[in-house]
Amino acid sequence: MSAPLLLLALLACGGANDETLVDELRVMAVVIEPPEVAPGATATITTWIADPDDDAPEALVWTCTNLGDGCLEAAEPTQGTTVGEPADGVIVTERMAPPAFAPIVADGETVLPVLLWALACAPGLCPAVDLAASAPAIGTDDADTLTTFLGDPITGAEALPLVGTSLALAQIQVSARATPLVNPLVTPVDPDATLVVGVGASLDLAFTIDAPGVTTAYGYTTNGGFDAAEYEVVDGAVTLTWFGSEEPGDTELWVIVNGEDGGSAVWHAAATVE
Amino acid sequence: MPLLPLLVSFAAAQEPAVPAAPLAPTSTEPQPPASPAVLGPSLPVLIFQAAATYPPDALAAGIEASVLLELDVDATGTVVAARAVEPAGQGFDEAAEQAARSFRFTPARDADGAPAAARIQYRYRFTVARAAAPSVEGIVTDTATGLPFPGLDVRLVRDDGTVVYAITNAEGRFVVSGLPLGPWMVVTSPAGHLTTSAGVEIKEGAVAQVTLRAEPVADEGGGGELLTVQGKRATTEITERTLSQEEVRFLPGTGGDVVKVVQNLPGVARSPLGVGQLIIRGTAPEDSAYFLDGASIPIVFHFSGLSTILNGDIVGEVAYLPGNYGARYGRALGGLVDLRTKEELPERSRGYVSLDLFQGTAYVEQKVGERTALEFSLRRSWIDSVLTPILSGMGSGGTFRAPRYYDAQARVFHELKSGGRLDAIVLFSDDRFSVVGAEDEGVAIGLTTTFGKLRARWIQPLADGWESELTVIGGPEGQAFGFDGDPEAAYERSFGLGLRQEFRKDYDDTSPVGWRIGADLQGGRDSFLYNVVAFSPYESDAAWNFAPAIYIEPTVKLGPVIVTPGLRADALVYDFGYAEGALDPRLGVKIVAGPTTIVKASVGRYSQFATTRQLAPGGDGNPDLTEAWSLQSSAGVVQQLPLGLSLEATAFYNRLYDLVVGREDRFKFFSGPPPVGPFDEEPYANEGTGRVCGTEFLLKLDADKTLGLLSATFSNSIRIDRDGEKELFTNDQPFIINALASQELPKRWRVGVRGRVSAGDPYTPVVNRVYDMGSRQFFPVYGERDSARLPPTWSVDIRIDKEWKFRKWALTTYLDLQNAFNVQNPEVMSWTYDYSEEDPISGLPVIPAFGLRGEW
Repeated sequence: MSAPLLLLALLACGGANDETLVDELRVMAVVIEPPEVAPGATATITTWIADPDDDAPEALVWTCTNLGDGCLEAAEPTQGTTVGEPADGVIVTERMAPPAFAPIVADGETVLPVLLWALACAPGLCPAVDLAASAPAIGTDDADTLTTFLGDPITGAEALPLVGTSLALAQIQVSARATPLVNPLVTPVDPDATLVVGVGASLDLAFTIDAPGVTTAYGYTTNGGFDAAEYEVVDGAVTLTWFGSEEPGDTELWVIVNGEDGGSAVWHAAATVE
Repeated sequence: MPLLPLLVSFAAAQEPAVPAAPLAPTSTEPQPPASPAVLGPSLPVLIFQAAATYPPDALAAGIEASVLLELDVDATGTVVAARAVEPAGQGFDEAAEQAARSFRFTPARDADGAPAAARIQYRYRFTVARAAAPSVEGIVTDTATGLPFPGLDVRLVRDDGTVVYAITNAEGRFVVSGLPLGPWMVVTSPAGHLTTSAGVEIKEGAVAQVTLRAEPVADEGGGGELLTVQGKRATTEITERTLSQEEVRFLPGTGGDVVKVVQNLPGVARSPLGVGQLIIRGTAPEDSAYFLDGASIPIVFHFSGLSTILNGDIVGEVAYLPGNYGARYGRALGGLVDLRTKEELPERSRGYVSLDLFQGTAYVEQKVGERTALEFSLRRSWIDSVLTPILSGMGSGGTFRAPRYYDAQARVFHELKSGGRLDAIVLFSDDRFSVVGAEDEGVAIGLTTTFGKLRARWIQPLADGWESELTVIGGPEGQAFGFDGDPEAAYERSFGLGLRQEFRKDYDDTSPVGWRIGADLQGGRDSFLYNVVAFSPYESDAAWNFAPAIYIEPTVKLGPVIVTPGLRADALVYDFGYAEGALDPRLGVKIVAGPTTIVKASVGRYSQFATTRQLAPGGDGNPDLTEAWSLQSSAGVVQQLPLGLSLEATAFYNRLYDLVVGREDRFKFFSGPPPVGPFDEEPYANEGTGRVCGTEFLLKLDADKTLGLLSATFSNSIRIDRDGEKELFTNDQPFIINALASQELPKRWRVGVRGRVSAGDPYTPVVNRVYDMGSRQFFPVYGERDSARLPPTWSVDIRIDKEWKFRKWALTTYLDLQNAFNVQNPEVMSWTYDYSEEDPISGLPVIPAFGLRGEW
């Protein structure tokens, strides 16, 4: 007899446009380049963080290669973590795909994921960030505490405040495939366009997308919003409509493109509502 | 202080010296003592006179008579013996003697002024003129057997304390004449039965009709708490004033459905969004059971909860037993509802057609000859069409699926010349969701519930007060969940056959022991499929099963104490090698503490086997599961109050053991609200326990032109999971208060109001979230399970009815304002897309339901 409840719960949710407004600290995107690597190869990880409240957040980025007994990275001196304050909203780091995957993916077909986590926190809210920054020696209580958090950050997040923290999850694909996954490319049709919109007015943002397969575009802003939560890329092109809010001011825009099988790209720009 | 002694003493003080006031004669002309045999200087003075029943044949023939009686009156003023010393024959003597035994006198006084016994003579005169102008005619019968109560005291009580007595004749009928105009209460307390009462209005030139049906106090065994909501011919029926279906039909918020009144009774929690769940005494909806004449049926409400699956006019009475019921019922941890079809022939053929906002109904009851009646009912909802504009108006603009249901019943009832009753009913119910809303694009989710049953029953009186009831019920039932274009992506189906044979005998004055002995056999084939990978792994299996049960329940009356021990043995066998049994002893005690007071207490074991899906090895079942069981205990008091009021208070404490836990990662396709994590994802196991405790109060008013119900439940229900973690039951509601009132007004207007206040349900809060870069969606991080609670809810429903009577038919229109104040009660917790804020789903807005009913 749960059907009315269920169906109303499932179907009564709406207001997709709200999802495009970023009004709090948030890990916006994680771009892994290349998105699919061979065991032992290195990928560059770019983490985009929105900070509309100017919280000057700290960020912790780490990987967890779990073969059934915690993260392999726990044995590393840094436990696979990168800690720091984003520069212009970006933290860049590198990670090597675990060589231990080599025999598993040697068939050239198997693809294994390595979980990549990114945690952004307003200063002082996340003990794990501080612990990672102190680089505790393996075997100490602090290291054990950090290891526990890094191995199960979902449980760890139960103790974090909801406001002022943002935990995100991505995956590094590890394989020995001959044609690995690649990231799409997102390019504005008019790179020199003036990104200014009047209060309450709208501005179309057109992009070309270079990617194999089906891709989806998502627009985000810290002022106003986009007219849809997601856009289907058709024939390598997509146009997003950005609405300025009722209050003028500087803002940031993100257009994030995800490939159907993985891989992503980010276009980011400053803009103005006047 | 019990009510009756209070009223008697009050009346005695008012009219202590009026020996033969013509207040309550029933076709009699009482005479003062003719030649008293004096045993003291002061004679007894008649203060209350029971009315004798005029012998029908004599009355028909216009024969009048007088009978000189010799009465032995003891020192308390009670008549201990009555004999006709100048008999008149033709039934007059017995009627006069029977009436005189209920007379009340002031005590005789000896020389010292002390009360003393006395022997007096008394002339009882029967006159046709008085007999021809009765004020009230009535009958008293037993709800369990339908048999009348002969020789029973019936009291008629007026607001000023006046009490008038009448005695039922061999057919259980009584007549009272000469009553002053105005409201009276008719009260009777048959031995071993609950006191039953009804209000009656004495009008000039009219004869009020009243039917009282007394409920055996130990009928359900175990001292259980049978609370009967009466159907058309149920417990108390009197023109315009009883809690009959005709009046329940007018109660706001019930949709005119007699079964829905149960949702307003103590022990029943408010179900989210008003769906048709019965959450009884802190147990899950699937732990309660539904019966049709004692035989199991899968559901009792249609999807929406707007209507019962069986037309209330076919239902004679609805028994709601929140717990501690007798051994005849089993296979449930929680409460139960038993829809009992009528066991009497209709007085006349009738029918109606009704149309309202939600459904249309056609019903016909046709007498065929003197012993047979036929009934037909057909209903079809159109709520899917109604909900479209309402839901669209709520601003979502999306697509919805609204419930749509059909049901149909055909029944034949036949009274056998042997005194038995034979009836058969075919019922069919079909529920499904239809797509409504702004975008009819075909939502990928659907749900259907369909079942058909044939139930045949033969009730036959046997020798020495025994009665046999044989019931056979069978038919298919199934539920299907459609997903992503597959209308049966998941289903559970069964074809079951049930056979129930019960022999019973009520205790009486000659035999203080009653019996209920029976066998309850069920069997069939169950099959299920779960092929919705979005919610659960693939599961499929089918199995034959057989579930026999036997029970025995004696009832022993020891003076005012009625003890009902009971024992029920259940077993469940599957063809995949499963075999389990359960033995449930139960004990109930009721004490008739006074003419208006009953004290009760009970304790018992109640078991419930796991479902086929939980057991079947072909799915993810665990064939090692044993039965879950509860130890239920309760104690309470039922007190009749003046002016048609009654108060029931009950405290209960239930322990739950060996509850089946696990596999909560599954979507609950067919029962219960959608789960909100975190979930127990381990295999099924009997590793859950729990406890439920609470108190329940029910104040009921059945007065002249007014019907009222005030119920309150205060309870706490917790569960302890396999890890020993204590958590609240998903639908734990610490307080639930319902108030219902319906008032008849002049010119056939009626207005009713229902108010409901209850605590909100617990829910699991979201304490953080994870943003998945691949899907670009947020996923919740849950806090402690069910550690937060929705705000309290309240609502008011208002209903106004107007009836027009024509020569051969009547038309009723009504406006039922549901949620009249448009309260946005949070029903289910939801969150914004990023889980940054709580965004609860509210219940339905104000719905002005308008309806028409034409009856002939």
